[in-house]
Amino acid sequence: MEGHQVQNRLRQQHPAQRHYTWRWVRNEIRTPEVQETTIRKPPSVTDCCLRVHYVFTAGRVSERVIKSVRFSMSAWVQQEAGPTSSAEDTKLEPRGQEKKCSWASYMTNSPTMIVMIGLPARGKTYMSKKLTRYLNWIGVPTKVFNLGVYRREAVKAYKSYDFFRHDNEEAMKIRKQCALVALEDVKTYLNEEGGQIAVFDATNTTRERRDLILDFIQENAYKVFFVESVCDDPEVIAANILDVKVSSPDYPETHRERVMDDFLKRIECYKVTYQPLDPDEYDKDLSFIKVMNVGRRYLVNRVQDYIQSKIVYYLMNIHVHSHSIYLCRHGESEHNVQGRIGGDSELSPRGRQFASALREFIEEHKLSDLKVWTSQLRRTIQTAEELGVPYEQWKILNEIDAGVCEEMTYEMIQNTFPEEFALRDQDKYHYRYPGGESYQDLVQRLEPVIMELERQGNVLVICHQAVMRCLLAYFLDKSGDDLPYLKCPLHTVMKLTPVAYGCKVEMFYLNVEAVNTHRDRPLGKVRRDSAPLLRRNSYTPLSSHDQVKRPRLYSAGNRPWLPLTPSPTTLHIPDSPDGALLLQQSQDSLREGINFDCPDEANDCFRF
Amino acid sequence: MPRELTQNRIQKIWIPSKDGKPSMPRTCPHLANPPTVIVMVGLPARGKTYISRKLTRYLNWIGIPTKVFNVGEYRREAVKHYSTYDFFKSDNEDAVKIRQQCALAALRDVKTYLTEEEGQVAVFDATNTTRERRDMILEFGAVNGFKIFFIESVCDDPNVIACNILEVKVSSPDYQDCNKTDAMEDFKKRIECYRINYQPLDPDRYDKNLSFIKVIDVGRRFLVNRIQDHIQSRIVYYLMNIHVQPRSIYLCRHGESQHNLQGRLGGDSGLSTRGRKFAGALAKFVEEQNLKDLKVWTSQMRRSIQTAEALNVPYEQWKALNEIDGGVCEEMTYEEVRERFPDEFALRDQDKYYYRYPSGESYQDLVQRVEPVIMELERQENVLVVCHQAVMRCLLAYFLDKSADEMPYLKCPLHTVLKLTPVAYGCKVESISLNVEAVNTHRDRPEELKRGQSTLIRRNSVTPLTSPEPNKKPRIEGLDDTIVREVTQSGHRCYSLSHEMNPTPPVIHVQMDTVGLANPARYGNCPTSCFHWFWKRL
Repeated sequence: MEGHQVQNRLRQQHPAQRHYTWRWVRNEIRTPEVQETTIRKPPSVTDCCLRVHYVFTAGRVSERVIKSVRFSMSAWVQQEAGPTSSAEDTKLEPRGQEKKCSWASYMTNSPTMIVMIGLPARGKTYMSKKLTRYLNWIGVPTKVFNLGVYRREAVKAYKSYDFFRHDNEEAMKIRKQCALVALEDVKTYLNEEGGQIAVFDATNTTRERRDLILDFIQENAYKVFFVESVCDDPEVIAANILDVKVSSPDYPETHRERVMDDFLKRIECYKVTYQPLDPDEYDKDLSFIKVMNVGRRYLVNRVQDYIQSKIVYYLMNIHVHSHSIYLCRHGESEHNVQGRIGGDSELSPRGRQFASALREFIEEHKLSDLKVWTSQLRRTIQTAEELGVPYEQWKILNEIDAGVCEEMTYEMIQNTFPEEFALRDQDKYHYRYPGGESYQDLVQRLEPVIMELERQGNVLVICHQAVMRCLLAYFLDKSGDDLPYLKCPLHTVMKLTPVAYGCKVEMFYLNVEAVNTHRDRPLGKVRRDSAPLLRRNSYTPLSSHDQVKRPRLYSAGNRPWLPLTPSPTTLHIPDSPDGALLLQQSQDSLREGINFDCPDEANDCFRF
Repeated sequence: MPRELTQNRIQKIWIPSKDGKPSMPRTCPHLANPPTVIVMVGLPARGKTYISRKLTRYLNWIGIPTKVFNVGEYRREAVKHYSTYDFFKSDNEDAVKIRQQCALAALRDVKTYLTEEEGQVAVFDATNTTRERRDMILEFGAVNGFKIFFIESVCDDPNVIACNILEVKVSSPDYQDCNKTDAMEDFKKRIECYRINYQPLDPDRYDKNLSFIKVIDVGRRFLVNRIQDHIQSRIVYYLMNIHVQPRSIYLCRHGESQHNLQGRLGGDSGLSTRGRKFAGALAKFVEEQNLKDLKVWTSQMRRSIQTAEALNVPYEQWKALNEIDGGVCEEMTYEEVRERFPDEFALRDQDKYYYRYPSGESYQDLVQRVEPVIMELERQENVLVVCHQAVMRCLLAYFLDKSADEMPYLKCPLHTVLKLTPVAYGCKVESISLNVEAVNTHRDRPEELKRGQSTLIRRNSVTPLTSPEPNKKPRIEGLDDTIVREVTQSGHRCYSLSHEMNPTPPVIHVQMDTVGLANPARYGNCPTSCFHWFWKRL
C-alpha cells in the first residue's frame, strides 16, 4: 500500500464518536460505478472495549470478513445505498459462506448460544437474566429465550406434573415442538436482528435434547456454551420454589402446599431422565461451566473465546447473599452552583450540609460492614470525609472526562463549540467529547466496579452524575438510549436491593437543597428517530426489556405472599425513616427514569 | 470530623491531613485484604514453577507486590550436590528431614516477606503433594492471619510431561554434569517417588472447605472451589486466560508522526513522510514473517491507525491502547512544559511511574488501563500491536518483568519492532529495526536521579515490585555457531533493551518451547530462531 493511498483512505474522525472511519470502495462487488460508503462496523461484540473496523479494500480481505459482518452490513447497505444494493447483498452471502474466517470467529462475530442445563428450581432463569443484563450493559446484544413461556403459550392451562412425565408421549411431543419453535426464534434473533448472544433457558436435561441443540448450532455455525446449575441442597431448592415458582402462572389458583408438592413431583419427572454433563467422557469436548451449589464450586471446561471467559468470570463473581448498594453523588460543588461541568472544585456550603446529612443517614440505617467508595475527585472525597468511616478512592469512578469542555457551562459550550453541542444531543450515549470520553467509554471503564459491586456486601458509592447513570443502568437494565438521561439528582441516595430477577430501588432525598444539574432529552429530538440507528449498530446496549416478560395472572385470593413485594408500578416507598424524607414529587419525576420493568418481576424472589 | 485535603503533588491524589500530617487513604479496594499465600500443589514437571512465575509477574505488574518462594532452591542450597533420585524416596529419612527443614525455612521467609517487607502475595512453589504438608501450611496461615489459596496442576499426558522435563528439568542445576537421557531417567524416577504419597486435593470431602483451583490438562479444564475475595478471583481469571501454545507477540510504535518531528507530546497528528515509509516497511516485514492468523491491534489515534492501514490486513482499534494522557501538557514540547510548568517538569523526573499529569494520567494509571489488553494478549496467538511509547513500555514491562522504577525508562525507539516469544520461564526478545530513520523520542533518566529514589517507591505498598530474586539461572546448552551466523546475516539484531546490560555472555537457546507444556511436535523445527539473551535481572 502506497503512502498517499493511506492518506486518502483515512478520512476524518467520525464527528460524534471520534473514531476514524474509512471509505469502502464498492467496485469490489462489481457495481457499474464506483461508489463510496463509510462503513462503521461496530466493535466486536465480544467486547465493548474493542472497536473494530473492518477495512474493505482488496477482495481478499473482504471475503474473509464478509460472513461475519453481513447482517449489520446488509442493514447498512440498504440504508445507505437504497434499493439498488439488494442485489449485491445476495451476491455477498454465498461468497461469504465459501470461506469461513477464523479471524472473525474469535471476535464472537460468530454468534454464541448459551444453553442452560439443570433441573427445575436450580436458578437457571436467575442466572440467565442476570447474565443477559450484564452482557447487554457491556454492549453485547443478548436475549433470553425461556422455553417455559413457549410451553405455556402452547398449552394454556397447566393441570399437574403429569404433563412432565417422560412417558406422557403427547406432552413430550408438545414440549419438543416448543423447543423447535424457540430455536427458530433464536435463529431469527441471531441472524436477522443483530443479536450476538442468545440464552436458551430451559432444562435441557437429556443428551438427546442437547444433541438436538448441537446439531442446530452446527447448522448455523454458531458457538455454544453450556451453563449447568447443579444443586443438591434441599433447603435452597425449597426456598427457590417458594420464592419464584409458586407465583408462576402455572399455578394460578392453587395453594402453597399443593404447589410445592406438585413442583417437587415435577422435578422428579425430570430427574428420571436427567443426564448431567459428563466432563470425563461424553461431553469432554464441549465448552461449559458447571455451577455447583450456588457458586460454591465451579467446573470449567474448554473455554473457547473472550466472551466465554468473560461469562465465566462474571458467573464466578456474582453472589446471592442479600446486600444493598447505596448510590449517591457528591454534595453540591462550587462548579455545580456555577453550572460548570467537570473540574475538581470543592463542596459548596450546601454540599457540606449534605455530607453531614449523609452521615446521619448512615448512622440511622445501622449498616453493618458498610464499605464506602469514592472517586479521586475532591468533591466526593470531601463528602466521604464527613462520614468519619474508612473509605476507598477509585480513579475509575471519576466523572466523565469532558475533554476540551471541562469546566465550561453549557452556554459556553454552546457558544464555543455549537457543532459539538448539537452532536451530543443527537446521540448522547456514543458522543465522545473532543479529547474526552463518551458514556460508552464510561461503561467500559466502570466494568471492574460492577464486578466488584457484585462481589461485595453493603457498599455506598459516592460518585458523579454520569458515573451514577452508568451504574444505575446496569442495575435497572436500561438501554444505551435511556442511560444518559436517567435522573440522578444531587443530595439523593438511591438504595438498590436485588430481589428475584430484578432490583428494588428506594430513593432518599436528604432534604438539603441543591441545584438541578439534569438536562432533559432535547424536545424535538424524538427518541424514535435515533432508535433504529441504535439498533442497527450491533454494539448498542440494547436493554433486555423485550425479553420474556410473562404476564402473570394472580387471582385475587392468591396475591404473592412475599414480604418483599413492592407496590406495583411505583417506586417502593419506605416508611419514612426518621430524618430521611422521600420526596413525593421527585418520585414522579423519577418514574420516567426508574421504574420497575414489570411489577410482577419484582415479586418472584429467588434467594439461595 | 472532616480533615483538610491536600493534594499529593506527584500522584495528584487528594489526601486528608490531620494536624498537618497527611494520612494515606487506601486507594485500591483489594489492599484491604490480608496477605495471601498461594500454595502450588502437584507432581514434579506439572508446570508449577511456570504458573508461579507467570502469576507473580502478572500480580507485580498490576501493582500487587508478589514473590515466589521456590523450595527447590532452598533444598539445593542445603544439599549442594544432588546425586540421584534416592534423595526423594519417602523412606530416606535423612533426606525427608532436610526437605522438611527447607520447607520450614521457606515458610519463615514467606512470613518475613508478608509481615515485614510489605509483600501482599507469596507464592509457595513446591510439590506439597501430601495432606500432612498442606495441613502444616494451613496451620501456618491460620497462625499468621494469611489467606491460603491452592493451585493444583494435574496432568496425565505423558507427552506433555516428557516435554516439560526436557525443556526445563534436564537443564536444572541438579543435572549439571549429567547427560540428557540419564537426567530424564532420573527425573522420571523422582516423579515416581512423589507419586507414592500424592494425595490430590479432594473437592468432595477432605478439602471441600478450602479455596483452590485445579488446573487440569494444561488449562483444558478447571475446577474452582470457594473463591473468597477479589485477588483470588483475579488469579482464577488470569489462569483461565493463559495458554501455552507457541506464538509470538510483535510490539511496535506507530510510524514517526508530525508531532514527533516537532518534539511535541501526545496530540493526534498524522504520520510524517518517514513515518509512512516505516508503515510500508512494516507491511513488508509482516509479509516476510508469514504468520498464520496474525491479528493487528492499534489504538484509536490517527498515527497508529495510519500505520496499520498500510498493512492491508484487518485490524482492531482499542481505546485502551491510546497514548498516556498528558493532560494540560498535551501537544507541548518538553521545553514548553519546562517553561510553563517548571514544578511539574521536575516532579515528573522525580518519580516518573507515579507522576500524574495535571488532569492527565500516570504510568500507574496506564497499567490499569491496558490490563484488559494484556489479558486478551494472553488469550491470543500471533498479535502485532501498533501502539505508543508509554503504552509499549507498560506492555513490555509486563512481558519482561520490569519494575515500576524501570518501566518509564525502557527504550522503545520508533521504527523498531520487538518480537516477543515466550520461552521456558521467560520471554525472548528480538529487536528488529526496519531501517527507516526517525527522531529519537527517548528521554533518559536524569543523571542526578539515577539511583536513590527507590526507597520512596518501596515504602508504598502498591508499588509493583518486580520479582527480581526468583532465580533466573543462566542456562547453556551447546553453542551452535551456524545459527548465530545465520541470524546476523539476516539482519535481525538481538540485544537487551535494558540499560543494565547483562554482564554474562548471551545465553544460547537451541530449543525454545514454553516450559514443557507445549506441543512436542514442535521439537523438530525448533532451532530456527536466533540466539537471545535472557531477560535477566541483576
